Amino acid sequence: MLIMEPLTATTNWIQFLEDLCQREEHRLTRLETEVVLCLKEIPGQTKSDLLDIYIQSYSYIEEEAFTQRLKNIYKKFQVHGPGQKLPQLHKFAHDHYHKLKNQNGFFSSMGLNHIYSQFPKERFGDAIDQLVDASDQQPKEVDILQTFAPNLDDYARHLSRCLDRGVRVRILLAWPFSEAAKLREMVLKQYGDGSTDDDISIRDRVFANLETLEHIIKVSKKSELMEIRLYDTLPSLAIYRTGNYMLAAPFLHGSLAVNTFQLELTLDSSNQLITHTLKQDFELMWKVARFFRPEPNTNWRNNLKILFTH
Amino acid sequence: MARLSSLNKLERSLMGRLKTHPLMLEVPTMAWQDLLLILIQRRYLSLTIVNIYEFVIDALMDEPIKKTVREILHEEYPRTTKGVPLPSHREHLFNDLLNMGATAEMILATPESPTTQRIRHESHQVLLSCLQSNHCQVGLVAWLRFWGEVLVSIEYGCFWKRISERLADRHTENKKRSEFYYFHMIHDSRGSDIGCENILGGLTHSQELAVHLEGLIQTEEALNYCLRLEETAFQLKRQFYDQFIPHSTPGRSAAAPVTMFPAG
Repeated sequence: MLIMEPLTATTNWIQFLEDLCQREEHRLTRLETEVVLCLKEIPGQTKSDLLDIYIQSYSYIEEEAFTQRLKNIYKKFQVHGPGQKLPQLHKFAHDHYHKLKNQNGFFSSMGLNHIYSQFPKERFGDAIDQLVDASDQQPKEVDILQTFAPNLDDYARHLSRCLDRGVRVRILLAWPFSEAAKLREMVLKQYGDGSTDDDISIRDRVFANLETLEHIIKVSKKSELMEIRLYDTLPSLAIYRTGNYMLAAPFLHGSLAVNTFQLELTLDSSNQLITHTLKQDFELMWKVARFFRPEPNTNWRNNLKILFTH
Repeated sequence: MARLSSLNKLERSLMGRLKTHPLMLEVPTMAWQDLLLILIQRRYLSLTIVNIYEFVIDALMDEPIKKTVREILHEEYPRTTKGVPLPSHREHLFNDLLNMGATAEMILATPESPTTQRIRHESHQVLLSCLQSNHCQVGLVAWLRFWGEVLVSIEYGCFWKRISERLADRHTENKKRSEFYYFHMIHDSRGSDIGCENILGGLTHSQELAVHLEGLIQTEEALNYCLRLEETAFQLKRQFYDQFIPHSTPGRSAAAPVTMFPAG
């Protein structure tokens, strides 16, 4: 199966051809790639048509040299069948393109837009700002589900802006005294891939998040729009959602969720299998988690300690 | 699990006996001034707890148990994650007493009674006796948990019925919030039988230590040692409260702890 990177819903014919030529197993030169880029998506091109497009698009080339370049291309794409080779090359490219398009169409219908190798810091910040500024009817909510959010400080300004502009914010974090938080900490320490501190303390990191949230509450005019809940169970996925935009990542043994791949999802997709399941699980965790507010200028650490023990 | 049933049974019994100590039965009708004087005297035992915890940390051999004890101790001195020190639990205790009507002079200048001093000393002696025992490690944990957490929660639970007249368990308009008694009553509490700690819902200090205790009680001898220690812890608490009962005989009772406590 041909898998193209990056996998996006917007990959077009030209992008596809370019990606195809750059693949390790084909290794086309730049000049050969230029020839392939002259292939039209619709079949039926002759060698003469291709040469005309090449000359118009790039530069003059002798027919003999052009034929030699095509032969190299056929070789690199392993087009060995009997008969004319150009239609075979086109079929090879066309088949894979449509296979990819079908895959992309399928993923797109599921709401999957993109897969990032790690958390896209700027992208999420921009998505929050877009939600705050949007005049459409998408849900004006920002949700974060994490054990602790290592990147929460990156969004302190965005979250404050949400509250001031009437956007509801829901934060779900691990109760730092839970056995589940201890287990996650042990797993990261034992099986971490080196990207996590050896002396990581989930408890301290959640406390740090709560201090950030305390500050947001302190400076916000409408802090009641932010609700924080803590859970004593194991979370399913790390979720960062703003309106209909969501990033979801698994809690792998080897690394923090922000350092692993991120599924970028659109929540109003036609097929709700993934998005509905994730939303539903967030709501379930929200329901079983307990309300907590790091009220500024109070000993909220006292409340935190007994949150689940009475 | 079956081995622990006698210990669980004893604990429930001792907790019940502390709740029905004559002094505790008087708490609901006691004059506030008397109650404050008892709590001020009780504060001297609270001030000891840090030393007891430090002693146990030094005497423990097992690193995971040390870690648990260390974490509980450090909760007494909270800091922000940037390292800024926050009011300690000792300060919360002092402020709760002030907010209930005690004066700073009352709290600071009321001398420790000879009985309180003796109870404090003998509590420390019990720990020293653990060092001579074949069951030293289990003894340290059992003592720390029952003397320093389980019974403490019972004591504060008894006092809370009155404290809550003047302090609230949450922020309200009318009353100041208890920052010490209320929270210690909950996070020190026994919570469940030893061996029945639930992975969900979090563990109290008593339960965190119970998890280790369960692993350490491997023989009948170790179990019997714990039974004797917990009985001794109760007797010390009983003697502490006896001093406030008119006509009670202060001093050593028939269950005087150190002499009844041969190295196990």
